[in-house]
Amino acid sequence: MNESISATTIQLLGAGGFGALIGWYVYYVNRYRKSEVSLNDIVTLIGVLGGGAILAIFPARTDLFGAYGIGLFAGFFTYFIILLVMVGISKSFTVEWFLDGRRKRPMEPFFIPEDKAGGTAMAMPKQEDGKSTVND
Amino acid sequence: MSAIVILGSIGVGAVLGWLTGILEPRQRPFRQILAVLAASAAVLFEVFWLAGWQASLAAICGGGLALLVHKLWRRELRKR
Repeated sequence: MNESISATTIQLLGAGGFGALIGWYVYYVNRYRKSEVSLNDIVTLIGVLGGGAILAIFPARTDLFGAYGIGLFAGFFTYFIILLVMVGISKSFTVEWFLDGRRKRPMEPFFIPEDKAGGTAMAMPKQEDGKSTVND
Repeated sequence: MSAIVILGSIGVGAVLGWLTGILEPRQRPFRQILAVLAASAAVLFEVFWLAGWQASLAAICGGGLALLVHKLWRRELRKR
């Protein structure tokens, strides 16, 4: 049974690239959240990856949706694998960072700027006064 | 149904399953599970609408597998 309508190579590449961007960004957004995972985060992320835009962009019964899905998978899990490799290589992080954001305290001359210009990876442990445990 | 559509549907399902694996219901778990199920059902319906029931089935399989792998991986991390 072959009901799907084929698309041109350039269309497939475009749909795949779009999916890869969305997948990469979905992992990025998830990684840079500032607190515990809330229900809203999950529902928002699920809405992004399968939102109304996808229905509008890709006509039904075409291969374009398939190319989007492959790109989405590739973008999302490439980010994750690169993160795994970088955490594995780094001397400042262990794989437990994926659970609760733990990492070694930076020693002089290294520091984390107060404005968090570099982003906050995963959930940063907080002290009772609300300050980060990392920068003190 | 072309292979590219099936593979793409598995990919969408896998990302969906991995994301739902992040959530660990602590407060009002029933409500949270219900909301995630509703959001997942919406995505699966979209897959069905765009690509048919075989693609939806592929997405469910991909999602279930990704959810399982993610939960097992997190459990291994906690054991350390």
